[in-house]
Amino acid sequence: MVALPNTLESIARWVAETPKIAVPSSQGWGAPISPQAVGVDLSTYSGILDFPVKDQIVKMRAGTSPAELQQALAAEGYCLPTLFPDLQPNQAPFEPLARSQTLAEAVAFGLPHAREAQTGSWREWLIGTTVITGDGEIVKLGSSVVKNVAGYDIQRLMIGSRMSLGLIVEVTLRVFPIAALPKSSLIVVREGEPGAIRRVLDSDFEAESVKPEVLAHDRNSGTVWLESAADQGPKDSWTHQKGTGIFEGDPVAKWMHRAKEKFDPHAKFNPGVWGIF
Amino acid sequence: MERSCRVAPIPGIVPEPDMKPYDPAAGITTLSQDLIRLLGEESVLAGQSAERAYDCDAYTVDRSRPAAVVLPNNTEEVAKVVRYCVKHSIPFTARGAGTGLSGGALPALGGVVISTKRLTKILEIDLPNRRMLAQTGIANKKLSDAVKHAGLHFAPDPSSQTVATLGGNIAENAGGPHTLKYGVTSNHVLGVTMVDPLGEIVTFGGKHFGGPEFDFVGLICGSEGTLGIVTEAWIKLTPLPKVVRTALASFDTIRGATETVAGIIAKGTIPAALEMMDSGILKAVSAAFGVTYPVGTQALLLIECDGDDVATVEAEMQAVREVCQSNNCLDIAMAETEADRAKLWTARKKGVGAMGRLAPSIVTHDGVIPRSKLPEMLDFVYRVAADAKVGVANIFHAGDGNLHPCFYFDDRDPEQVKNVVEAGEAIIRKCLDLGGSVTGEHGVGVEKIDLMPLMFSEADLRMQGKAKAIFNDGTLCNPCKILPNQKSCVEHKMRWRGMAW
Ligand SMILES: Cc1cc2nc3c(=O)[nH]c(=O)nc-3n(C[C@H](O)[C@H](O)[C@H](O)COP(=O)(O)OP(=O)(O)OC[C@H]3O[C@@H](n4cnc5c(N)ncnc54)[C@H](O)[C@@H]3O)c2cc1C
Repeated sequence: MVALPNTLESIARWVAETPKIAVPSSQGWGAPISPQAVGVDLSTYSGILDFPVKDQIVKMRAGTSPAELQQALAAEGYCLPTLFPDLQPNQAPFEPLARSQTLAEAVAFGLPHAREAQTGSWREWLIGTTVITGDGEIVKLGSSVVKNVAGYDIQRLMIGSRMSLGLIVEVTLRVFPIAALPKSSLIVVREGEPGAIRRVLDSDFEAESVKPEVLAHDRNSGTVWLESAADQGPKDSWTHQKGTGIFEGDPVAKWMHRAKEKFDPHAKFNPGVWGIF
Repeated sequence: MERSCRVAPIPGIVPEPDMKPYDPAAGITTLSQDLIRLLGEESVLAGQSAERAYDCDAYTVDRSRPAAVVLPNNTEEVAKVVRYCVKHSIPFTARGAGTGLSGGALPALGGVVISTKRLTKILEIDLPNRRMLAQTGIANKKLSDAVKHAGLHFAPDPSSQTVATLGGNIAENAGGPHTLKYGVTSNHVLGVTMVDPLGEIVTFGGKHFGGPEFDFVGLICGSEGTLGIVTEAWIKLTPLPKVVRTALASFDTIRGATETVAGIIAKGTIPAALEMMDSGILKAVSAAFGVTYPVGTQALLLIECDGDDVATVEAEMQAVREVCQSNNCLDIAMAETEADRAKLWTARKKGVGAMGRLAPSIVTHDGVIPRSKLPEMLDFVYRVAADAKVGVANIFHAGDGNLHPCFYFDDRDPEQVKNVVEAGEAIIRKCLDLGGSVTGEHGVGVEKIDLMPLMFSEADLRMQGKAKAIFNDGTLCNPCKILPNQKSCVEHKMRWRGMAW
C-alpha cells in the first residue's frame, strides 16, 4: 500500500503515471481487486478543509476518518446523522460508517445506516466531490452549496461506485444538527461478524428480521444484518455482501459497463472490484 | 429564429456533429401520418396551433416550433415514437406541463415533442412501505392528494405544484419552500422507468433507496430530459408532520433578516421553511391584497418548524425566536390557526403575482450562494439595481441561499432592457464569486448554457459530457441543453429572462 502525495496536483500526476490503481475496502467488501494494481492507502490523504457552520456544509479530504469528521462536527452541534459515533458498544459492527476507514469509502460503497428513513442517505448528503480521472485530470463534480441544479449530478454517480470510476479525493457533505437527531431502532439480536447487509421493504420486515441468521435489525431503515448471505431473501430486497452484488446479465450491468467505458476507459481504477469489470 | 451558436463549444467535450434544425419540408413528408399510424389519430397534434402552443415553456424568450406533438398513453407508445425518431434522425424532446423556466422543454431543433399529458395514472400505492408508483405526467400535487388520507405526502413542493408534472420535477430536480428540511426531488425518487435515447425501455433503482450499483437514479434526476424520457417512477412518501408552527418575523433592516437566516442554522436548527421577502414585495402585496405589516418593515422572514412532537418543535421555534430577537426584529407573528398560517404565507405565495401589477415587465433570476453570504449578496443586489436604475424586489428561499432577485422595468425602453441584462449577469457572477451556483432550481436548459463555463472548468465540463454520453451518445434526445458543446443551437434573442419564480 502506498501513501498518496499531499497535493491534488501531485496526486493527479501520480495517477496519470500509474497503470493500475487499487483502493481496497477496509471492510473487505467487494470482489477482490487485481493484485497487479498498486494499492493506495487513502487514509494518508486526510483532514477537514472547510467547515462553515452557517452554510451547513463540510469539505474534507477523502481519506478523513468518520471519527475525525464526527468529532469536528459535534464541536459545533452538527453531525452526519448515522448512529455513529453514539453507538452502544455492541452496535459497532452494524454501523457501516463506524467500520469505514475513510469517508470516501463510505460514499463509494453507499452503505445503508440505521437512521436512513428519517435523515436520508448519501444522495442527500453528498453535494460535491473532487475526482482524479485516469488521465490525471482534477475534476470537480457538483458544488459546495446545499442547493444546485447546474449540470449533471455526477457526484451522485460516485455513490456506490466503489472507486471504479475515478479516484475520489475530496468530499463535500451537507451536515445535520445533532439537536434534531431522531431515535434509532437498531437492535442487536446476537453478537457476530455480519457477512451481509440486506435492505428489505417494511412489509417484509417482520418476517425477515426474525430469521435465524439475522444478527441485528433496524426498523427505521428497513435493514437487516445477516451472518452470511446464504439464502436469496425476498423479492425487492437487495443484499450487499462480501462479494459483488452485481452480476453479468443484470440489466444494470450494461449501464455500469457504459459508465466505466466513459469515465475510466483504460480500466485503471480498482480492476476486478465488481467482478464484472 | 436565428440558429448560430453564440456559445463557443468547449474543445474536447463530446464532439457533436453540426446539428441542423429539423426541417419538416426537407424531412420525411409523412411524419404526421406515420405518427398517427403508430399511436392513433387522437394522440398526434400537428399544424400551426400545435406548433405555437409547444414552441416554448414558461421561459418565453427563446422559441422553436416542433414539427409534430405526440401524446402517448404508456411507456410502450413513448418507446415506439422514440424508435421512429431515431430511425429517421428526427430530434425529440419530452414535455410535461411546460412550466420550466429555462427552456428545457423547448424543441430547440424542432422535431417531435413527446408530451406526457396522458401519462397521469397512479399505478400503485403501497402505504405500508410508504411509496407510490406513478406515471410521470401526473401533477405533483395529485400525488400528495392521493395519500393525504393516510397522513402522507410527496415532499417536494415547487410553487408550480398544481400543474408541474412528476416527470418535470424529476428532470429539473425541483425544490420548493420545504426543500430546506425535506430535500429536493432526487431525495424522493426510488426508481424510474425510462425510454432511453435509442428507444429501449430501461429501469433504474427500485422500490427502496440504495443498491449495490452506481446511483444512476441520482444522475437521471436533474438531467433535464437529456438522458431519456422517464415514464414511470417509484417515489417515496413522507409522513405529514403532526405539529407545524409558523412565524412571520419583521425586520427594519435587510441585514437584520439576512443575519438571522445564517444565525438560525448556526444554532443547529433547520426549520422546514425559511423564506425571505423584502420591502419591494411587501409594497406590492399590500397594494394588491390590503395586507399590512409593522411600520418600518424592510424585510420579512417566513419561518416554519415542524415535527412529530410538540416539545421538539416548540424548542426549535424558541431557538428561532431568540435569533430573531438578537437581530432586533420588530415583531414576530405566530399562527394560531390554519387560517392564520395561510395569512402569514400570503406575501410568500402571492408576492410574485403581486409584483406583476407594478411594472410592465418583471424578470426573476435564480442563483445560489452559501447562505452565510446572504448579507453581502443582498447589499450587492441593491447596489447593482441602483446603478442600473431599475427596480428590484427579493422573494426567495433564504434558508437554502437560493436567491430570486426580481427586476421590474419597462421593456419598451431599450436602455432599461440593456441595464437589466447587465445587472442580471453581474448578479450571477457574484453568486459564483461567493462560491455558489448559476442555478438553484430553474435549471440550465438553453437559458444558462453560456454561464456553465463560468462555474465549471473545461475538465469538469468534459466529465459532464461523458456522463451524458453514458445514456445519450447522439444528438436527437432533447438537443442543445445543459452543455455548451453543441453547435447550431439556439441563439438567445435577448439576455433577459422571461419570467420566473
Ligand atoms: C409559477 C411557477 C412557479 C415555479 N416554482 C418553482 C419552484 O418553487 N421550484 C422549482 O424547482 N421550480 C419551480 N418552477 C419551475 C418548474 O415548474 C419546474 O422546473 C417543474 O419541475 C417543471 O415541470 P413541468 O412538468 O412543467 O416540466 P416541463 O417544463 O414540461 O419540462 C421541464 C424539463 O423536463 C423535461 N421533462 C419533462 N417531462 C419529462 C419526462 N417525463 N422525462 C424526462 N424529461 C422530462 C423536459 O424535457 C424539460 O427539459 C416554477 C415555474 C412556474 C411557472
